[in-house]
Amino acid sequence: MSAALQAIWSMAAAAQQAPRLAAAFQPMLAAVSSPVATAAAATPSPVTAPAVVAPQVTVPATLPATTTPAPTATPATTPLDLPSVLLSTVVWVTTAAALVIVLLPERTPDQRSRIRSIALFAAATSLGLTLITLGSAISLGVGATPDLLHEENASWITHFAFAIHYHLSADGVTLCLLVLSTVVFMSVFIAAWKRQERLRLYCGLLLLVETAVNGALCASDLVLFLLFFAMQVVPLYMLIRCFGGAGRERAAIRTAVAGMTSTVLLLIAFLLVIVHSGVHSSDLGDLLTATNPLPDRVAIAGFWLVFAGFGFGFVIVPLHAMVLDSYDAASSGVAAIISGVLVRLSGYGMLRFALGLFPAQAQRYGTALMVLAVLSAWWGVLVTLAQRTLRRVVAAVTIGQMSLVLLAVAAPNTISLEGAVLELVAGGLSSALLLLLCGVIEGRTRNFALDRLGGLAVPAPRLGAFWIFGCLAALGAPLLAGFSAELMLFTGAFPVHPYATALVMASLAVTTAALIWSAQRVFLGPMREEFARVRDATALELTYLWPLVVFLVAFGLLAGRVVPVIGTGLSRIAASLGGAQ
Amino acid sequence: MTVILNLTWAVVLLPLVGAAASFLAESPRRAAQICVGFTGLALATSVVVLLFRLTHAIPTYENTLTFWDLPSTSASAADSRFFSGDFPVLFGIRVDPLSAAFMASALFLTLVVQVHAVVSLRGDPAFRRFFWVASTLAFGMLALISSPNLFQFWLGWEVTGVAAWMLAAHHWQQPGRALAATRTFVVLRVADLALLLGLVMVFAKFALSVAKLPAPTGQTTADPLSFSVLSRQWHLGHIGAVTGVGARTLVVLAVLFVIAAVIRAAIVPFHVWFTGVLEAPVAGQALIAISGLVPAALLLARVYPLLLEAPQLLTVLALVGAVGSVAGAVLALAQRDLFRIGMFSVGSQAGLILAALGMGGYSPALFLAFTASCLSVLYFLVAANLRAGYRSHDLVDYGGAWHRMPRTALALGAWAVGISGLSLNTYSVLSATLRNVRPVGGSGAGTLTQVVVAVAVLITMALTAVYAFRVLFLVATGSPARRRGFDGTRVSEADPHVRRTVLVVMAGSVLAVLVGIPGVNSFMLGSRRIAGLTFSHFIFYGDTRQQLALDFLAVALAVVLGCGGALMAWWLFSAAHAGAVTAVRGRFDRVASALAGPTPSERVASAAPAAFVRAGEALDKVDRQLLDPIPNAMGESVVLLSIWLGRLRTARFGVATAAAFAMIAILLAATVLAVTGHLPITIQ
Repeated sequence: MSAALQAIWSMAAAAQQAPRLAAAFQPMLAAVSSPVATAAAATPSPVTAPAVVAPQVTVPATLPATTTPAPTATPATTPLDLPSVLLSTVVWVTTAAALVIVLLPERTPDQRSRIRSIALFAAATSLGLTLITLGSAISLGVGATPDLLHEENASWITHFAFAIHYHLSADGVTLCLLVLSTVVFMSVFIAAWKRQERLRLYCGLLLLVETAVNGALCASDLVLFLLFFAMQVVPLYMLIRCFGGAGRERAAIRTAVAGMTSTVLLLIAFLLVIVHSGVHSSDLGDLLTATNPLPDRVAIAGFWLVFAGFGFGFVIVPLHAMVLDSYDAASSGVAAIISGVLVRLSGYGMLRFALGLFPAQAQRYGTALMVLAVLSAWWGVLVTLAQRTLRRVVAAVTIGQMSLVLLAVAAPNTISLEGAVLELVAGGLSSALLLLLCGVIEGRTRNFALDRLGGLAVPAPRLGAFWIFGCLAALGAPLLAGFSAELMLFTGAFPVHPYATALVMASLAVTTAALIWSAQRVFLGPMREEFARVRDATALELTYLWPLVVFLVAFGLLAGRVVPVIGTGLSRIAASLGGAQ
Repeated sequence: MTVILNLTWAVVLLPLVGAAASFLAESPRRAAQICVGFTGLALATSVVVLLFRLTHAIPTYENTLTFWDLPSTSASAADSRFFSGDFPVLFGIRVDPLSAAFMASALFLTLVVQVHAVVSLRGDPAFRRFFWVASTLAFGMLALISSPNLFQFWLGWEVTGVAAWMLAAHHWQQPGRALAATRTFVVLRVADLALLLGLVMVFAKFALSVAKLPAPTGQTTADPLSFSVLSRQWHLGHIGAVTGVGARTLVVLAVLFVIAAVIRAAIVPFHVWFTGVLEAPVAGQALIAISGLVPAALLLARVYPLLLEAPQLLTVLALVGAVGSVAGAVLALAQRDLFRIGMFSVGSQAGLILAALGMGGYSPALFLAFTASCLSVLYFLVAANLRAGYRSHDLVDYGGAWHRMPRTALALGAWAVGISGLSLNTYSVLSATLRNVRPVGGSGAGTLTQVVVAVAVLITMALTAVYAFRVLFLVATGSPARRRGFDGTRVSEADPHVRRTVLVVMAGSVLAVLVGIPGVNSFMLGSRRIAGLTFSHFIFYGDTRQQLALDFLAVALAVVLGCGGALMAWWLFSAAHAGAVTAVRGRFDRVASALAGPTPSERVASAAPAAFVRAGEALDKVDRQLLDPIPNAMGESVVLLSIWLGRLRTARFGVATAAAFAMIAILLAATVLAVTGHLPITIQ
């Protein structure tokens, strides 16, 4: 107990961003720790306001001094002037676990159990650290929260044509999406608890994908982002190829091609920006503060390249076909990650890079984006009605959800973008919940077709309740995360594109019909004889479904606390948008 | 004083607490008792608030908490397209006569329905679910009734929509019922989205103007969605004092709110969502009926100042309401199904409410909403008793209830008297209609509209009396029709508990009607002026001048129409005249059978999903035939390239895994080396 509190406290204090959290832990620490530690904790700090001093903790060796100063915020340091490794821990702990797992045998149940435990521990560590960080950001309040809550910046490759940094940072936007990513991954790891075959490969690949996603979310350097973004392609290909169902070969290669194409497009776009910016750095902060504006043609090309690059994952019509196939072919856990995390990562990229780097172009082509958003919304909802499998329904609903985010990109202002970030989180959690449930239902019924299901709520009422909850969450029912997200998104988008906003809102009525219809066809109505013995949700399934439910409710009820944190993260984008006018 | 007014928080939250606490109960019966107990507690509290409000002439009291208050971080203030002010969203309570009266009314009706359901749903597999959903619905209604702003109103509106769907899907195991419930939810969702669009537009148009107002105590900025704030902003917008707001904006906003209200109130032809509810337990139907009527009336009451600034909409509202009320009454008259009569009756009464609002009768409209909600619940509970006794929905199968189920028949009679206007609950609507030469605001089309609406109201009142007494006479007189497997002599009164419940609703309805009459606002007792404790004295908008002569005329007309309708029904449908009017009854039955089936809007609602599915299939075909081949071709090209290179086919997954991990390891090592300064790369 004491050791665990020590570790959490030290993490918070080392980051220097959570004085309230650290102060809150102090009495507990004093109660359980040794007299020496208590005495140390009581000593006032010469640097920070809260009366805490970091206890003796083991911290990795100091990173070399940076050749390029940190562009936006001073790197967080402890009173001992040690660098924060919080974000690196969040990002790399899963890779470390993957490397350990590779070395372990998986012949006996005990060995497999060990592999699962390590994977779950790594995922839980990432989640725990992310939650502590978000909690500290919320406790700091709006006024005190800096743009970048946590930052690690070190020069990486300095003798190249431009400087590349190992620059990780986490603002409000990043933190919320990190919570989404780590929660979904942890749920997927728990869902794999009963898996017996090729467990080592499955967990290892998932851990690598988690590293890639978390790294991409934290990366504040274009090259670093690209490396992380590309890092998911191979593991994802193998996850679909090795652990998928019917049609997995085709889906795997399509997903890989989409990933590679995105990477190439982004690479070209980023190189264009870096070369023409004149700052000789791929650091995002440097590029955003570059004094020389990009030539118009370069900016236009860059914007559309970035847009297309993220468009594959963003499931915008007409690029939506690239990824959606994998929903059907991948295992339910992998599908949950694709829909819940990877698609949202593309949304994050769209906000961070397409809007952040090219604000003027985003506004110039706002009408085109708006048309695409309306088209995607209606295309998505209508196609949903024609789907024959549950997973395809969720996949088609994802198109509609992402069209809301695209609407915010087309009408960028603080409120709509905050709504878009919240929508990414809400949509990610709800679709992950629905896809994990798809896996459970398919496992129980050995059936994928909607028209062969029915009345499942009789033998499995809890599964039915979870499904209906997931549908309501995806629809933005009151007091859930999507509710606040839609309110903000539409409120922000309406002044800019009133008719488009109204049309997208109208599409939500059809989405409602599609999702409730799916629930009705699968769970309601008379029970089929062949499903009479279907089991309800087991304790294990509840263990990985409940966290998603809890976070959907928490983001809904605490929207008032979370949204200001997101707002601080968006301040840079808002500033660049303002400057672009 | 504020302590008592702040009890409203408890009124709103107690049903929700009850719903949550019911999950802790071991048995469904205990869960029901918990829900009923918390609803009762909320009712008692709301009565305290109502009595306090009745006895104290105090201004509207509001107490809000901040859900979020986002300061502007936008740098786009220079561009008027972008909103750049704060974005506060608050929730709280608003205690004014309207909310105090309707909170008590809604809770009374919810409590009675829950008490009724304790017996009528005994043995139902979803017994527990009914109670916590009913309590949640009550919470949603109370949240919107006591809402100080549009945000909370929308929140409550959505909660009631979801709860209504769950009640409609109560018997989801039975074929067709789940589909009907889905239709209910989807149509209600359209109303939700209309209201949401209105909310968003209000914020977009008025937030900047409201942001300049001084912030109330405890808030960093004024709430741009607050009803109190907006009631002044509408007028400022109308006179052009708000940037970007003109008459067109106000009209569009009013249209959105009217659409939301018309759909929610189940006015013909938007009653399609209610048809799905008819498959729910009758107690659920009763609750859903009030969850349609009350929110719709409350929405229009809260945005009434906006409607006054957009007089064209008042005209439209009056016409829509008038046409809907007549259509509802005609369709109710044509039905044989006891529950479809109830549905159209609710729609018809809602139409009258809208017509009254459109004609400037704010207080009469709300009084009608107040009484109609009680009478609707009374009707559905009576219908539940009758169905239990006669085991049929069809009016043709009924008869002789006066002897076999006297108390239920008495309650049905009370409903017939109440709904037909003989109890004088609709005279004020008529008075308001006649009072105005033209709608409030003075539109050019006023006179003709006023005549049409007045005629429609008169027709509705007459038809309402006919269909109400038709039901009464067909049910109460004569003897039950002979049917196979049904012994008419065994029909008996319902369970005493249920019977008492119905009588309590009847007493409540009578009380609700009594507070509306005689409509004297105040009178002198010696030298002391005594305020009349009437509904129109308590709830009004603008001045409350009375025209007693007009009121008397309206009362006379209401009595004449009610009695005329009752006599017509007696002549046509009473068992005593069955032989004498066979030819007329035959003609009526032919016309009625033509109207009794699904209405055109119900047919459209049934056909619409198929049309949407066909559109979706067409797009899906485009996906599969046009868009899918592109990534397939790209993927196949890569595979072909790999085969050509002779790598992929021979590579086993183990090798591929090793390669992937090796790549990651190299990347990791390079990162560590570079970060620690051991990997200098120099490319000139």
